[in-house]
Amino acid sequence: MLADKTKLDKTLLKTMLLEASRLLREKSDELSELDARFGDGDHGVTIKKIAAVIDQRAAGWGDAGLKAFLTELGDAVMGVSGGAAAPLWGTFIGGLALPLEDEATEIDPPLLIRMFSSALEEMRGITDAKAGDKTLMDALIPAVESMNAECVNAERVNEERVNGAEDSIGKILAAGSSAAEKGAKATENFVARFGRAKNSKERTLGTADPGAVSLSLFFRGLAAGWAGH
Amino acid sequence: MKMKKFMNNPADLTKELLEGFALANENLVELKPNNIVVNKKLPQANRVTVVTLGGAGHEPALSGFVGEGMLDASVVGDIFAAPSPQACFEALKLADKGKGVLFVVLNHAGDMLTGNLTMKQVAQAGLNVKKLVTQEDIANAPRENADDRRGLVGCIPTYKIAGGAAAAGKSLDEVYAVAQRFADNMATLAVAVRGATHPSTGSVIAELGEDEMEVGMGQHGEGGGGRQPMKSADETAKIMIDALLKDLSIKSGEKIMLILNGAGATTLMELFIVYRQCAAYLKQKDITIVANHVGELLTVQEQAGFQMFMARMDDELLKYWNAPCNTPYMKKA
Repeated sequence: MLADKTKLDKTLLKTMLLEASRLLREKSDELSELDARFGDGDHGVTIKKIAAVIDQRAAGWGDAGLKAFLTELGDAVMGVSGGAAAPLWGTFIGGLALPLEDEATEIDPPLLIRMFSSALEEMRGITDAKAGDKTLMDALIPAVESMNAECVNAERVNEERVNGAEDSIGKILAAGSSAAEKGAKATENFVARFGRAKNSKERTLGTADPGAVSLSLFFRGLAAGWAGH
Repeated sequence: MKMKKFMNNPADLTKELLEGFALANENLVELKPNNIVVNKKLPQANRVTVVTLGGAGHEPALSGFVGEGMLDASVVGDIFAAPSPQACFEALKLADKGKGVLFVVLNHAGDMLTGNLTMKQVAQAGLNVKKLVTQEDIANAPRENADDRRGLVGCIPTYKIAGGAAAAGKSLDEVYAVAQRFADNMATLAVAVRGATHPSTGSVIAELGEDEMEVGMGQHGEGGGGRQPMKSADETAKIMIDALLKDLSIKSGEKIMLILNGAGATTLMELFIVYRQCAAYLKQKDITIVANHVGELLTVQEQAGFQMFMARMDDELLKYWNAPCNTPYMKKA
């Protein structure tokens, strides 16, 4: 029998997070180079620190349930000193934990969507950046929208199937990853309105936002971690 | 160009610089966990206290101004990066002596996010804290959009004014009001002639051509305004003074504070030559400099250039500026 690919548990989440942190570390120098064009050139340094926290927490995940683990991970990431990225990522990860019940041990597609929607809401609570402002929101907003659309689709397909479910979690994560990547790429066409880059105005056209790129890498890592399990 | 800096492991820059700073000033400050630098006399304080946050790499700012009469605590982030909200909350709790805390935040994306998240925790815990934002860079937004203005060297005299008012026994509301009045009447314009290298990565921030200068650089030399051919000290001084006077609508007969803050690799020789012209030009316009400072307050590694700061002064502000203080990098008897 095929493994159940409609639910996500602690082991799988751990695998996904480890893959995401590996990818972030691998790309950190590129992120710093991208940031050096209009920022102060240390986004990769911060992302490396965030990745180290994710790595350390995921690798040493003890008895904590999903909710407690993600809540603590969000706090730990927020505790990283690294400009805007740390509080943003900390808020994002902490936001994922909010819809979970204390005892939750499994995440099904609708819950996964609620988690990412909650993370997006939390982010909206701390930044005024909107789509098109050349920030990480340009990766996050389309990612969550695409995941949502894919979830609706997957649920419908599964209802129609008789024997076993398809890989709906994988499809949702892949949809999020691809939308985040497209969204990050699209920031090349935007003029920066937030952060240090905004002072360079039109000169930022043609360069992607490092924050959008790093968040899209996180989505890619989650999807790759799931796909590889 | 290869980075030439005396350092050890780049990952330890902040930790090591703070340890050295604390050792060099052990009679004035104490380094607490989570990179919180505290006024050694804080335990005896029975007054409003003043706390700030900001990245390292700008020495002597911000921690160089921790001590009696200015800052009671500075929460230090990593190089050019904001500290965590948790560390700020801890510092505010530590600093609260029952009279409330003024929390000064510079307008930069990371600092502001940390400041806002800290205030969330402050509200939950019911601490008596008022947050004041310094945003005075006239290069990147008009005065009507002050929220878009970056915080530059203006935070330093703001700490001094707030610290003076706090030492005089003013309430938190009064300290906040006087510091805000000062902040509302201040403006900074910066000029860069050579970029800095980021000490953690070795990458150059903002490269400028051989014969170019950029008016309106940010805190880190990131672009902001007009690139133009290099000009003389006298010409540069006039351009900057005119821009600041215009922004603040300062007229003949008014009194001002003038600060020339070296960015790190511009010599005092140059700053004095510029100051000479500023003083002469202002005198011509019948504007009196009642307070000044020429030197390095807030630097950006080996960036060459300077920030010119101006503020409209009145007797009360001048009294607090001149009030005694004893910090590692600013002392007044």
